[in-house]
Amino acid sequence: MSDSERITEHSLLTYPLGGENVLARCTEAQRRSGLYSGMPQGHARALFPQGKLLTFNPERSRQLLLRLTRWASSFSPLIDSDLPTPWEATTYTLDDRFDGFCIDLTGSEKLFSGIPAILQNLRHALHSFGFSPRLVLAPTRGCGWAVSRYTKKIQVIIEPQDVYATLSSLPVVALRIDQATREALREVEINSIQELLSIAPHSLRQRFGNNLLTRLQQALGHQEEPLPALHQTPPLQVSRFSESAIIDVPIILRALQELIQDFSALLISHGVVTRCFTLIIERQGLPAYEKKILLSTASADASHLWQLLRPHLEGVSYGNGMTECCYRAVNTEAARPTPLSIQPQRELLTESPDKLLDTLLQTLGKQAIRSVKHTPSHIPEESYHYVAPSAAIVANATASPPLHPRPSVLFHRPQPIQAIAALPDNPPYWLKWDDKPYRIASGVGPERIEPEWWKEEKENRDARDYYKVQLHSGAWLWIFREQRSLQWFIHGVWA
Amino acid sequence: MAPKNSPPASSVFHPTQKAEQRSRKRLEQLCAQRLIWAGSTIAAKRQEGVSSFALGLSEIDSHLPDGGLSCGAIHEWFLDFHPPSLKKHHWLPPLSIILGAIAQHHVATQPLRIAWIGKNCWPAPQALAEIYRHTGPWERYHLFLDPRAKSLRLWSIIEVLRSPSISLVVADGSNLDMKATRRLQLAAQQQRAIGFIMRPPWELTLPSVAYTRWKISPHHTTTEEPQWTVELVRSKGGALPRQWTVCWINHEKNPLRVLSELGLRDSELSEEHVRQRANNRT
Repeated sequence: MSDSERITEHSLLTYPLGGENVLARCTEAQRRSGLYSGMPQGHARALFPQGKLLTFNPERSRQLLLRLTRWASSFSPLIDSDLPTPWEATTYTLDDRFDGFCIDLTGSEKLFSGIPAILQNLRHALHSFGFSPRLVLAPTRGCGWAVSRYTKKIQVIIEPQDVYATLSSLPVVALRIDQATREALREVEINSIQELLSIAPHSLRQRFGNNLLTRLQQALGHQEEPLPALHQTPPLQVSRFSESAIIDVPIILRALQELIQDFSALLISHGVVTRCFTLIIERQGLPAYEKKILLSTASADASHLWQLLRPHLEGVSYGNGMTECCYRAVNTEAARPTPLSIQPQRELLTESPDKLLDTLLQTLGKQAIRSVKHTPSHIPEESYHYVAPSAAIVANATASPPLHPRPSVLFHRPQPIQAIAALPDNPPYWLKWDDKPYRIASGVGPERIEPEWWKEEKENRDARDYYKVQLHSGAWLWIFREQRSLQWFIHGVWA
Repeated sequence: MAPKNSPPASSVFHPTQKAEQRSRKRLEQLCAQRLIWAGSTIAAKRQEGVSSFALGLSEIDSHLPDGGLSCGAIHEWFLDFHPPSLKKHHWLPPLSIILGAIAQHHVATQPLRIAWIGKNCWPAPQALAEIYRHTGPWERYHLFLDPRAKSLRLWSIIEVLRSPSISLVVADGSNLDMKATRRLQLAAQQQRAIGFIMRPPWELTLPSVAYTRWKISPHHTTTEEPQWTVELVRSKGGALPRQWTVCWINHEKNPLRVLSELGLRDSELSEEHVRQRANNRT
């Protein structure tokens, strides 16, 4: 969107990039004339001579899309804009695929006399605002996104049974994947979703990472992708100004500490706690310093919030002094009263580890703090996954304990070994582990572990015969032989 | 009804109290003569009400001065088994004994919230599921940390030891020098926490301030149950070096059993220990 002048269908929205102006957005009519986002301005002028040049303002465009999303929330409270999240390695400026929003209309049809009426209302309203929208009603957000961006239909309704066929005909870029995954797919000449669907999911995960498989599963409806409820209220924030810039660091720290108490009081007065807040410091002679703090559990405790923030203020340069500071709650949730325990004295762990988790989170990062979660699988290394502690609490499904003994140390990946057994089903009497031979004193087994019957890729998996064997030194090892390949592996040790 | 001329209850001097005072006096004398070198410290700690972490093996616990592994201290564990991995410095932690101790604690006294620091020291989730077989969901009692750098690992161990929300810390202590172990010991002492530091077998000879050092070696068995020789290499509390053979019995609430006590290792005893043994015998 341009800063001042009104945009019409004859406007050419350009944006400076790498020393030249390129086309940032184009209308349907302009697309038909052969224009596209990223096209050099001169080339665009040649193809569309009647176009009037205007400068594209990404921030204004973003704000407009958010306003439009808020307006559309009258159809359903579950709505989300398609804007890229801050951690996505992509640019909004030259990518018009982000100009859109997604509404979860489940249950809304009864309020608006059916789905066709909703689509008609939306179309009329958006036309009256000056947009030429593409409306897609699909069973999944991924499918809707793909069809609206990569087909030329103005309005389409996709039935659940047609999702697979619809997606098959689309290119892989329709899966909302990042640039690196796109490049990796192009390298192996996978261009369409049809080709992806013919590859086993575990192979996709191994070769291209989790993101591609997640996007594919979400588009097909095999994995949930809930929409967040739209925030209607402005964020809670407190700020403090200074008439003259404060240079003295201890005074700045004291001001920040006092302000965080005001921030905590503000949260408490609204009956909310925050899971993520931002500190913004305006500095004279330097750009504003911004620090976002994430918490594992929502809190409004001033001392705890300060404890998490304090280490990050150590090396901050304040330039010619601080002129303004502000704490802003990025998201808030209702504070819940502490439930009274009806359990007897069995539960003695009264202290919650949340504060510790937050402290660890700030230094080690999310990936270093794990909790264990059971996943339904027979394969030992896949029956448990390490997830973020909050995810483990949500999905607190516990597996039944194993019938047969399991080693205390389990290798993440089974290590190949060589072994010789006297008879096919007998435990081996000799093995070689990393070129070191061992004679086996005794052994127990086999225990057959089959791949999961409910998984599609089970044909690619091999059944395993596990043995518990004792070396002459007394150490017990957990080894297995794959049924088809007859390859031996060591999987764990009773250490 | 109390007799009219009887003294108030607080001033009544029971014979048991008298005996206790006498034995405490004797203990102090022995300490002063340096006949028992850590007696006073142990007595002082008991007066403070310092708790201990029982391994659940009465033969071993009764040998330790506090009736278990002292709280407010770090304890080092070594497994005498080298996997012939191609990776250099690959080693395994002796987790079975730790898991057995956790199992008996969970059943007998209270659930422990445990932090496992360093991916090399993470136990198999299936083994955890086995020890909680009789007690229900267990995932929320365990926190797994994987700090990438050595400095971050040390920082994490200290932070977790200082946190009152964690009952037990089991950490990868490889490549820690004396100064680092002192920092860990101070952190544990500060919060009366207990830390089990897993170290590779080649670091057994390195100096450390740990309260106890344990060496676990696989023991050959004719049954299907794994067995280990548990050796108390060093103890600051005055317990003498000793060895036990311990066995793991699957599906039991308390899966560890002591099979035999292998006695003292005279060759490794210091003169002080020998004198103490002689006193005990007389």
